[in-house]
Amino acid sequence: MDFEFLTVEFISKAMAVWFLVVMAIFGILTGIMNFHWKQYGVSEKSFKKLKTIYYNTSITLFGIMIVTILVYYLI
Amino acid sequence: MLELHEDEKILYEARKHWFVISKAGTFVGVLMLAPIILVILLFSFFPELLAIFSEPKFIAASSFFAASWLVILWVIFFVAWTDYYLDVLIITDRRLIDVEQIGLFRRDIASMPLSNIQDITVEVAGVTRTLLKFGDIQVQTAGQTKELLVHDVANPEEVKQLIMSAYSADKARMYPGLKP
Repeated sequence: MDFEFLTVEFISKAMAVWFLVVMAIFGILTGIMNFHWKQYGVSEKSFKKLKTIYYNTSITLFGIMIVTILVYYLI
Repeated sequence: MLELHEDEKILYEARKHWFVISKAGTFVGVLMLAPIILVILLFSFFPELLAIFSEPKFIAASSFFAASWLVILWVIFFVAWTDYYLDVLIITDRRLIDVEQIGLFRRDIASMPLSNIQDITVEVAGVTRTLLKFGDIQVQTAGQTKELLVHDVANPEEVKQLIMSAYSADKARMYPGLKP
């Protein structure tokens, strides 16, 4: 199998497109879940704890993604 | 939020046992290993890729895709958890309300007055359910909703006792002069 298509330009574009796709999936599903958590009886205290765990982990993972993008472009 | 009657109070919210969501968690955990397995398989069948992916730029790109895979799995797990958490059997001092969340876009709510309850059956079948104390509760009623069946409830015997206590209290409230 020929892997010559795996050039820096191809991977750069793939990373940019994939980042947007992941952001879109995250945004849509998070919006829907937020609606459910607020609407359907999750108590205020549990809601705060839930949001803290969910968003902190998501921010950490997105942070890793951004750092790896920066490392990729700076090398 | 659920709409309760003016003087209606929630006595208990019975949710599914944690074992139910642990199955989804285990599945997500296994999927986390998928990139590692994929890389091992790719390098086994296409050794020329090893030379390409040893370069620092490609290591960074691989880390990026691995992190993005974790984001997707994290969101999928939370969707499954939301589905699990929003399945709840609510016992009020007036009625039973069974809320079942099916996926993200369907929600079935069945409610029945406590006074309509005719029979409550608890079924705990299997080694896991017996050891971890969860099972199914079946409530038979005289109303339009003939039967209410809730699966995988934690501590079903205690929930049954709670329902029966609520039923007795509701009967006493409706017929104060009635002696047992």
